[in-house]
Amino acid sequence: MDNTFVNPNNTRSEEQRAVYEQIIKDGVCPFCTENFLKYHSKPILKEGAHWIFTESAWPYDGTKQHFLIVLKRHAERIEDLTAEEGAELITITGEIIKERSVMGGALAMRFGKHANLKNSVAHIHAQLIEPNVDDPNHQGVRLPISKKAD
Amino acid sequence: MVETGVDRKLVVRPANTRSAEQRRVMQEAADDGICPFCPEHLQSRYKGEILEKGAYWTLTTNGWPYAGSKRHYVAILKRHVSILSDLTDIEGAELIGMFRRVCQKEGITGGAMAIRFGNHPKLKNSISHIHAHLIEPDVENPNMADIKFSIAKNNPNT
Repeated sequence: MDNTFVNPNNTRSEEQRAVYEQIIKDGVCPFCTENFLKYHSKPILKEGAHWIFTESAWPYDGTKQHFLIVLKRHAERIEDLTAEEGAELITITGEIIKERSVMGGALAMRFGKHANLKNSVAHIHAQLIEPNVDDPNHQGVRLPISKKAD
Repeated sequence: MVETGVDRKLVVRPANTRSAEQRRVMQEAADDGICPFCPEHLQSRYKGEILEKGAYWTLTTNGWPYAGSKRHYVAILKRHVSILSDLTDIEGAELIGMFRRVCQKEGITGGAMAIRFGNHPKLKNSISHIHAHLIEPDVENPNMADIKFSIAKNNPNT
């Protein structure tokens, strides 16, 4: 494991970038359980054996609800996930969908460390995104996965 | 098997396709009133190659891969479900296991997995039968297009 856990170039606000720059100075993974609440400002909604369910601190524009589901142990690739973690990801997400009446959207998980990938934290986490489609000024929601090579 | 109470008009949305050929195939499915991702129609209605049949999911290559992707897989749930919260723990375990194996086998070290769901007309899923994408962007290709996974479209009023 190398010591770069976040990519400040993939942040979406000055405040988020400032938090990420502090994380780099501190040299820690912000999504590992022992550090998570130090950097994450939203309450934990649900905690399973493998995942923590919370709200995104920086929800995407155009979302009605935007949740993060963070793996408790440090892993960075889909090939590192176990069947038990996959089972709980789906069931814990299903519970939140019912409890928070999420009508539709997407469950997505980016992974990998490459300058042209758009994930901002390397530690495996999924996002549950409900677009605010009833807003008459809704501009659409798209999850960036990668950008054109520099 | 199509679950009862499904609005058949919402099973496929040809407007959310990305090519003329994909739109034609989806429109045919819509006209015929069938779900192209149900197992009895998958081989005749879907262009992707079937790579693996699990107990709960069928792993395929995407027949219409996104521009900018190096590899693009779609795992299609065998039973007809349109609501993500209807998935079971066993289905979640098999899905992650399937994607884990393909990442290991092909050396996929970055990208995304993503599942759209829901029946609202402004959502961008083209087939409301649960399926999961596994996308590996072609990050070393200088001509690669940006990949953005569309979840909802603009309100037509904007």
